[in-house]
Amino acid sequence: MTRNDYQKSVFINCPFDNQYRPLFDALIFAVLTCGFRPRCALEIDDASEVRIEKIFKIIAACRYGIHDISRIETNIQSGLPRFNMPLELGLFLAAKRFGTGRQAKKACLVLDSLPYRYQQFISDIAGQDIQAHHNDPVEVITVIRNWLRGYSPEAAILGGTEINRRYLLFTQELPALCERLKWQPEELTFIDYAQLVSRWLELQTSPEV
Amino acid sequence: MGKKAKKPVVILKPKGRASRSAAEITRAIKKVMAERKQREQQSVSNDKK
Repeated sequence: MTRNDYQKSVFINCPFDNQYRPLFDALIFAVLTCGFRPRCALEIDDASEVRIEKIFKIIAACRYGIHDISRIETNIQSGLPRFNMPLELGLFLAAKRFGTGRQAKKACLVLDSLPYRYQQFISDIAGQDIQAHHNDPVEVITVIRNWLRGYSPEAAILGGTEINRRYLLFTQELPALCERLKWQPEELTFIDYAQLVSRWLELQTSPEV
Repeated sequence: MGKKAKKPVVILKPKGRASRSAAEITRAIKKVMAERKQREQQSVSNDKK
């Protein structure tokens, strides 16, 4: 892994379910548009590796982390909440706290659906950068864009309104793109989606088109 | 001295291999973009009529 890989990689810690999918897609689009590389546990399909080991490796490879802790509701079937997101946020904060060299320079953004709600269920993270997205993809894009802007002041990052305009255009074209590639939009894997977004963004400003 | 120009953002390739080749993805995007441009031109010429 090169130094630049680390500096541009963002660990994505969020729910991976259909309910969250609109926010997840917007989040990935925003990260790529800002010139960063999203990384998450979904990119690895090596069943021989223990899941937590995969997560350790990805966290170690990312300077940045975006952690959405908004999913605090209990599961309808089990009646229990999921703790993976708070656990992975803790791992990321510990890597920064106890790591040395570049690990100590990690930075993270914590997202929740409502402002200050986190104080009622995870008050120990007060003092971190915590933003609310109100379950709105437009807000997800704007919040992430503004946060990443602070970590690449030398780059000509687009404004939130323009990124949202491009995201709307991309979502309008996604069904036609999937049809040509014989994919179902709702079945897109993280890698398929991220590759598609990455290349689509490149071609929007490419003189070859 | 003038203000230093900002570097253009480089879109990075995600890790991992998609289930279609990069060339297939590029071809599909170019086709859909061409259809979009055609619709836009059609709309402009309709407005002029």
